[in-house]
Amino acid sequence: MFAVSRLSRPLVLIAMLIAASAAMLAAACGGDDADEILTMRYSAGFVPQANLPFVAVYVAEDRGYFADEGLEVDIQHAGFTGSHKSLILAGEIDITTLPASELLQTRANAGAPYVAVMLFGQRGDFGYAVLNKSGISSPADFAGRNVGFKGIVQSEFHAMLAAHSLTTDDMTMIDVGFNPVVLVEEQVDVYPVFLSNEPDTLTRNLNQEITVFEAADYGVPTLGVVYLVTEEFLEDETNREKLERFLRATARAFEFALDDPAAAIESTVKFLPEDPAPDLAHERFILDTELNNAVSDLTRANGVGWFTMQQFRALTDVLLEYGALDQDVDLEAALDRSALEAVHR
Amino acid sequence: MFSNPVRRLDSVDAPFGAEGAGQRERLAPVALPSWRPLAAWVVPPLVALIILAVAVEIWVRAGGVSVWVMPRPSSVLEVFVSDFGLYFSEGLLTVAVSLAGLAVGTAAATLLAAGVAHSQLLERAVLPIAIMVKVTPVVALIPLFIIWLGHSIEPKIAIAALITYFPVLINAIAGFRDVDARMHDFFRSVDASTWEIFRYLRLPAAVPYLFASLKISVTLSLIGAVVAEFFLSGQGGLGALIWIEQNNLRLDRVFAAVLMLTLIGVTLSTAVVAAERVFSWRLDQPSAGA
Repeated sequence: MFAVSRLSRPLVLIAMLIAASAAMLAAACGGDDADEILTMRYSAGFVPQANLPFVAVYVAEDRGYFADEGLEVDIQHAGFTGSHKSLILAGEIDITTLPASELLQTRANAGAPYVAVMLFGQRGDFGYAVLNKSGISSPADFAGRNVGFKGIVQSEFHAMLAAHSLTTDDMTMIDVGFNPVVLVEEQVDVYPVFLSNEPDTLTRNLNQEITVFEAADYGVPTLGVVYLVTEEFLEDETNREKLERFLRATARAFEFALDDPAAAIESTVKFLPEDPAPDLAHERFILDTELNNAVSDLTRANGVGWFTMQQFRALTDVLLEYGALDQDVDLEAALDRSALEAVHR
Repeated sequence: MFSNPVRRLDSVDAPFGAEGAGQRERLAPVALPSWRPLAAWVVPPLVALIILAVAVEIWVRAGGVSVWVMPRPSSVLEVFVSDFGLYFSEGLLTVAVSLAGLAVGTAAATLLAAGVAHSQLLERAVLPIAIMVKVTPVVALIPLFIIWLGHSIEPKIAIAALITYFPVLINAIAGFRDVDARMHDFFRSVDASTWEIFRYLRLPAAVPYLFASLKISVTLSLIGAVVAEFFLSGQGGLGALIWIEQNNLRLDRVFAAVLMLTLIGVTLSTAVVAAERVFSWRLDQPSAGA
């Protein structure tokens, strides 16, 4: 008896420990949604490269931030097709990227039920490059010059001209397509550039000394790329949960990129095509430019990716004024900051 | 001067059977080709198109297909009718680019083929380059064409021409060479010059080949024009419209533009067929080659 009782005490303790562990495991697996592994389908709106909204996903995946959140993310790229804009509306992907102005246009003009949930570019992606030797020192000097545009003259360009008492009638507008060589060849005096990459192409690859004018510097409200989901997606509570996890992981990756952009590029390179070998200096230029444009007093006060109704109202008004929108946009429906607020709470 | 070998042929008892133009003159006058009733041409494809549209409409409605993936044909038709003026005027811009490109491409290819048909050396020199240009993705060239040719209609015409030239070149070479050897020998025997052989023997022989290639090239030229308009979308045209509306996700308008493009394609193809019939009829007439 004695011997048995001496043995039974530790056995009972072990049995109790096992039972407690089993109970905790059961609670972890079934009783608490917070630890359930969720999946998210993400499509970057372009080819793999170091745009900040893409880098945030690459870093979050590479450094395990998604895993920390119990999230598995299927990372896709739309390439040059623009397919992400339709795929998200068809429910084939959950979240994607789009410039804020395009979100507003497709909502107003086609009724696309897009909802912005995080804003990266606190100012726009467009700039207007001139050769330094052209003698142009301000948009006021655009008068009488050949000015390029890429298919559509941006509303922000009209607004920037208006800030200098000019209109497009004061210059010769030329449809230039997508090749900055037209500026080097001086076929135009002003060439519209995507800020994150083309200035680097012009200066580093084409050895030009340039100045880039941005509408935001002349008081024109502009915004860059957002993460967006659909209204239908947000109707599901589970989707809201995974969105929150996604934003928490990408916001963490965003902050990591701010602290250590070189390490962020290292993570990014793992998602870039190996052939041709990526131009790391160019990728770094893209990331640095977008990091710079993604930080403002607003984000410093509230957290990365922050946005306000006022920002989008101002942008909408510019788009309306210059005819880019067929009608006003219901911004209450187009913006949802609740998940981001939960992230930064 | 040997101005009309066909007539010269008539003056001898041509030994070439039914192929001899001299015999043709002795046949009863050839009547104009009997045109089928218009309905026989229009109704079958129209019915097929309607059936296709109804099938898609049912699929989209019953299958709950998202309008962001496939618009309802009824919506497309509604947009097409209500904005017909827009699609028509943009279509005219595209047709202008397309036909100009087709003209340039066909003329260049025909001239080159004429040279190649006469010279194997030229063929060996030129044909690999022609194939090299053919296999170059035209999309890769558009930005360069814009720099080389300017920012107006010229690069678009060049792209349309580049896409159309190859079928014409290959067919025209085959056509220029598809001459009866005995007839060729006869032309030589009567001291016909190279130009006369070309004008009265090779060119008529190539006509059916040229029309066959034109049936392909006329639609290719439309594709070339539309692709070029994607890149120069500020200048209008159906390609620009499709690009802009695609960006705006207004797929019903994208398909309405495609519908106009289809109508233009059918019209141009039909025009080529009609031209071929008229031309063939003229060639069949006794005065052919006069």
